[in-house]
Amino acid sequence: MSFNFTDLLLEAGHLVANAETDKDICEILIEYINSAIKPDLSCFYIKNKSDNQVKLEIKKGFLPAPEVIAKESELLLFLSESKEVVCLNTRKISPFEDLLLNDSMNSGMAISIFFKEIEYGVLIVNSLKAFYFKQKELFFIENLISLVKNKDHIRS
Amino acid sequence: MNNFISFITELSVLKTIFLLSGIIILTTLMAYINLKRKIRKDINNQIEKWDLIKENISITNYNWILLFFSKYIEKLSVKHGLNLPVILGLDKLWIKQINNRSNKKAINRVLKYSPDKGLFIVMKAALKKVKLQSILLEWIDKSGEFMILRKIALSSNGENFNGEKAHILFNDRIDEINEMLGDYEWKSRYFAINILINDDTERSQAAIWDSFKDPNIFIRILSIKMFKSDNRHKLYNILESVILNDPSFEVRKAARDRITSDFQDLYNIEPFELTIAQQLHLIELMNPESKQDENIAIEFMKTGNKELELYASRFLSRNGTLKRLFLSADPGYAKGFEDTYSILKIAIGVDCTTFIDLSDPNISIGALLLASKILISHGDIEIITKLIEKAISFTLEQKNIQPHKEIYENTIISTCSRGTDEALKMLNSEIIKRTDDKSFQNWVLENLPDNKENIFAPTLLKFLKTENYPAEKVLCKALKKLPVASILPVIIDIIKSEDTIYSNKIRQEALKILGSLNLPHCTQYILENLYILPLEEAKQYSLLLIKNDSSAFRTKVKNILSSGDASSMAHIIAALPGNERKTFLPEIKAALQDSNPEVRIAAVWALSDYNKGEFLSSCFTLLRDPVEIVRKEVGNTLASLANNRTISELNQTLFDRNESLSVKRAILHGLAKSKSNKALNIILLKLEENVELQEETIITLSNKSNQDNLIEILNFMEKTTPVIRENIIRSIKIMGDKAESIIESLLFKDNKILHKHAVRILDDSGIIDLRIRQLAHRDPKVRRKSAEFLMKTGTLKAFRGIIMAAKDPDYEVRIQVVKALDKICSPQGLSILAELKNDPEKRVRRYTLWALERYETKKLA
Repeated sequence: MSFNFTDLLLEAGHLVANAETDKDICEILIEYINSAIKPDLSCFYIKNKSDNQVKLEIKKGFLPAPEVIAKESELLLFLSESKEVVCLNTRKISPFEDLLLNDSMNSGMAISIFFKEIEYGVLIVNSLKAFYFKQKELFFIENLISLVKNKDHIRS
Repeated sequence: MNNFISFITELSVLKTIFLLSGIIILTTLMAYINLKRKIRKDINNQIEKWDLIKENISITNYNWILLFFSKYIEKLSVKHGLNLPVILGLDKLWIKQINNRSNKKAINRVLKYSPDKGLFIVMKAALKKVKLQSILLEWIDKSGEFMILRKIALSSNGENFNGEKAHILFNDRIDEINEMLGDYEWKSRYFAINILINDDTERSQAAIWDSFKDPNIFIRILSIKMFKSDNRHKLYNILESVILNDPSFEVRKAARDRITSDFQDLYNIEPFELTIAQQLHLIELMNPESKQDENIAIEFMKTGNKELELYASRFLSRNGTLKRLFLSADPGYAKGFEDTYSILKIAIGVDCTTFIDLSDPNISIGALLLASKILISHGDIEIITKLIEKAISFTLEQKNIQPHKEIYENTIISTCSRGTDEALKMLNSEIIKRTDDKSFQNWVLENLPDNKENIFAPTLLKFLKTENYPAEKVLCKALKKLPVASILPVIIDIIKSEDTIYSNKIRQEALKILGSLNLPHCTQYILENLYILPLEEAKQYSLLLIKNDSSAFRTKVKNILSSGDASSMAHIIAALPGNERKTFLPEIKAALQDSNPEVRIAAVWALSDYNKGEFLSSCFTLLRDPVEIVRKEVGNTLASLANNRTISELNQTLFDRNESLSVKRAILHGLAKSKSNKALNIILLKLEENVELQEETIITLSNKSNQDNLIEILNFMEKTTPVIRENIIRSIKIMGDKAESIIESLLFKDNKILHKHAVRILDDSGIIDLRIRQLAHRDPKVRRKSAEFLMKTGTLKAFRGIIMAAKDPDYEVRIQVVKALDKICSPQGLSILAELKNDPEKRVRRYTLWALERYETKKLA
């Protein structure tokens, strides 16, 4: 069954607008990204205000993913500073290599989202295949995030 | 008798001489005996007194008589067992004799009767005449006194004497002299040092070296001046230390003089390595003739230490440097002029202003400029008089061209703030001379002092009576600053005069001033003459009406309202203060139906802002008043207060095809003033109607430039037609910079509609181009801000602009370049990214890798 990205975006935008908590929003985002992009692994890491670490909150997929991301991770620093979607198309030496959540993964994308209750969250999707994520997938994530930015919970 | 005459005539010459001589001798003898008797009597009288009060006495004879009877007084002294020469003060006369001609007899008498007073003088006489030395030495030997030289020293009062000769005279008493150095009496130590300076023995030399630290300044000065040593360097070092550290100026000065005369070859003090106190001492002793010292003092002026600045300023003032700098200042050489001014400012800061001298008739413009700057706050106020005399003598053309303009303006400011009456009178003449110069009058009247009514009140009142005086608003302010008594009689006279004497305009101004003085005793004058003002001005006048005696005020108002005089009624209603409207509410409501349009308009004004517009609805009917001027005023008033209740009424009128354009225009003017959001809605609707008054509506809209209004306007743009959008953009352009910067900030809100129209407006108004140009600005903050802004606009034009900054020295700008390349995603950008991959800044390299990866992703279909 193929999905129309625009319909999915509208649906997700509507649900996010009515979501009550930050965690609800994370669930919705993961759900719709999985439906649209079909990655092999998708995770939502969050850092609560009381926490010192960025911990795995939601995981979709059977393959393993680290429970925490080191605070000093270059990927994390870059995501929080740039607020942009980071892509990695193949496994290689890169400042963003933390983006691949286990050794089997060969491509991925990540973005950070700043909430009001949760300090911030990092959404990461991975694929076993290199060059799996294309323009369409990138734009979907970018549009999805921009759609939910007007929600009160999100700090833009 | 005949026998005596014949005896005289028969005397020979010789006999005559004998006879005369005999008479003279006899007379002298008798006089001597009488004088001696008198002296004895005087002395006996005084001795009796002396027995009682034990104070030295004086007798009423000349000094020479006392000296003449010295021997006799000595005899009496023995007889009475008293030291009469001292008691009578004769010893002082003997001392004087010794001083004048080293009288041997006097020396003996002084040594006998008054050695305490006279020893030092005797010693000085002995130093002059070797013959007398034996008397002194014999007396010393016989006196048997312990420390007899101390007695000589104490009788000296610290007077100077020839130490070299004294050293020879007392050569066998050097030990005794050395012992005197421990005496607590400084005169004793001074005496000793003066002699020991000439003694070569080790003990004496050691004593002299120590004397530089003696607590008495005369002793230190003596050693500094007289001591000679083979050890030049040691003596120089001590003198240098004295210059820098001795607390007494006289001592330091003596040391400096000694160095100048004997040690100039060794003199080498590094002024900037000293403590502050040492530097202060050094400045005091600088040589006014020395250029080197002048330069050092100027350097001290720049240290920022106030004490050093004061000392250096005083030195530079004393040697004429400050005056020279002042007189030679040349504004044509800007840097030199500023340097001079900065030095003089330092001197002024420590109250050294004596260098300001304007006495030279050919004084330079530079000096005048400096004087004018300084005299605003410092310096002798008498000089301001001289300065203004020169400044007002400039030609009119000069007064408007730099640097004369600055001199002229500074001088007037200093005259107003600190000038003497003479200077202020000169300024007054200048003000009268330039009556027709609007900008000058506006400026000078603002600066006039408050308390000089004796000088300025007549001039200002004359201006008030002058038709078409060019600066009437400032004139009112200036008049109000003066004491009321100095202007009130004239102002009342003007108001009460007939309009044939003074025009209506002059009387209006006088009335406005009278009202603003807030004088309860002038209420009647004001109320009865309110009709002089135009109705609109009477309305603005309400705040000025007197409130002190409210019952008297109300009675007066009631009388006028019931008088039936339409013009007076209208003016009184319009001018009623807010808190008085409640009292006269029935009269005001009734006035809405008055036959006179002016009264109806005034009533609408009075009701419009009464109690938050409670009675506004009573005014609606007047929107359909038969008289157009009433409809205009009512429309304007209601529009300026636009709210839910007025909005539908205004809508009807504004879109009524049968209503006149002037009424609609008045409504638009009112809407422009309104702060309500409702007003913006009507304006936008009118703009969208696009039938009439488009230009007026665009201008009205341009008054709505706060952030909320602009957000609403941008959202409205989304819904409206391209033509209306163009009109809105024109209106925003009229709003100016403030609105543009609000729109810039809207870019950073994540609202696509706002973003779209904000970008459109900013592009249209040239802001994007401006920001692209600012990427070359020298300030990195401006470049960074521009790059961020351009990124946020998200237009291709902006991205292309940013890419030009790929080699910007600021890495934040280069990061924006990378982001722009990511947005453009063009193969041409790859070469720039390839270069930025090797950027020296790690963050830039990271962004570049990020962009390259995304480029690859975007190319994958």
